[in-house]
Amino acid sequence: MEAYERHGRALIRKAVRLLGNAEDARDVVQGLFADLHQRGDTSSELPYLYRAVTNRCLTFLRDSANRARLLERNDRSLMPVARTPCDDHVIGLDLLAKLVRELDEAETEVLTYRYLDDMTQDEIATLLGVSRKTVGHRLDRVREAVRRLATEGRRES
Amino acid sequence: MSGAARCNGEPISWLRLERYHLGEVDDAERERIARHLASCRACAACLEKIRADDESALPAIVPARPGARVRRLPRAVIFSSTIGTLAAAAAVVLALRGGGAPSEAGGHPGEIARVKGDAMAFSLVREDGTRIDGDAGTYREGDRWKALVTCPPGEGVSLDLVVFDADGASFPLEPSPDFACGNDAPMRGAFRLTGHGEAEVCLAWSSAGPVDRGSLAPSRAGAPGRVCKTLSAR
Repeated sequence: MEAYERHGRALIRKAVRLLGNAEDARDVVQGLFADLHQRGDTSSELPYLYRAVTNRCLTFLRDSANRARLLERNDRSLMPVARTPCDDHVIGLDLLAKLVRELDEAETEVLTYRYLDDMTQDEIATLLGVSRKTVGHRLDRVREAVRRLATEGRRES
Repeated sequence: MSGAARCNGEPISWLRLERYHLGEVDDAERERIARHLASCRACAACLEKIRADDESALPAIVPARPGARVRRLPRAVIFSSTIGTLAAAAAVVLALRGGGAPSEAGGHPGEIARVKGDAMAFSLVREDGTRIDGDAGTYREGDRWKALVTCPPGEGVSLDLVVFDADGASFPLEPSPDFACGNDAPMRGAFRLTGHGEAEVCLAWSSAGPVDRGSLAPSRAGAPGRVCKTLSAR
């Protein structure tokens, strides 16, 4: 569990940014290391573990019961800080919860790296092993979904 | 970022900051990041947040044990399929009982309730790594616990956790309607024990849909199939 000792805190911080609370974040990270241990997987590179935690958090968010519970207890004052606006919408848990239903897995993953982890498109491309153009296309679809949700929100209000 | 300060350029991503903090970047990258941090209060504040957070204790991991074996049932507690009194199609409750004494429900230390011809085991792991496999243990108020379940892979089971104390029954975890069995498979979530009295922690199982909580709460005593242990306050 050397990798956990070294990277556990960084991964929990990452999960907190996505899920908005430490309890669920710790569970996600602990679940990852428990599974890695069971599989005899000794991966210790932070970028690899970062992706694994991201995908586990997104799977957690896709579960409607989890999503409802997170939103119910979400306190905006406790929201993770964000440095990058997304078309003037800071990605909070409420918007993220809507977007995971609008976007496919690849698009949602790119969304979190860009708008919650503040990665550049080049950094995302390197992490995912895809071209920058592909990242750009996925981000276009993210922005489109944000605009669509914003338009729908205005219509409803 | 606190909102007051905004990055004066392209922010250093959290991943790059984490790696910088861990010393996992090469010299050129270290220099680039250091230069940015020197002129950007927003990103410098993020790094400070990482450093401050690293002072906190890292929760103990709850490792699965690849070598763990499913404990087999003593014949005495193998249920007949004709026992119709098992609530919600054979809800099985494993409860923590004190001092290794037989449980109110008739369980004995080490007994495991039968599940479709196989067996289930249940352990509690505290955040500091202390593990309770046996029938009794102690807790301090506020201890955070996770529940690990060992059951035959491939079984379709629903699980729930119920805690009995002086105030009655409570359900601290989300039910697990389709639990992925395995060795020491963790139930989702964790719970804390508060108070200063004795607490029974029970794992309920059903092979026919979600565990019926209503049927569990009043059946603290005398329900067949329970294996009980008690946690006493320290």
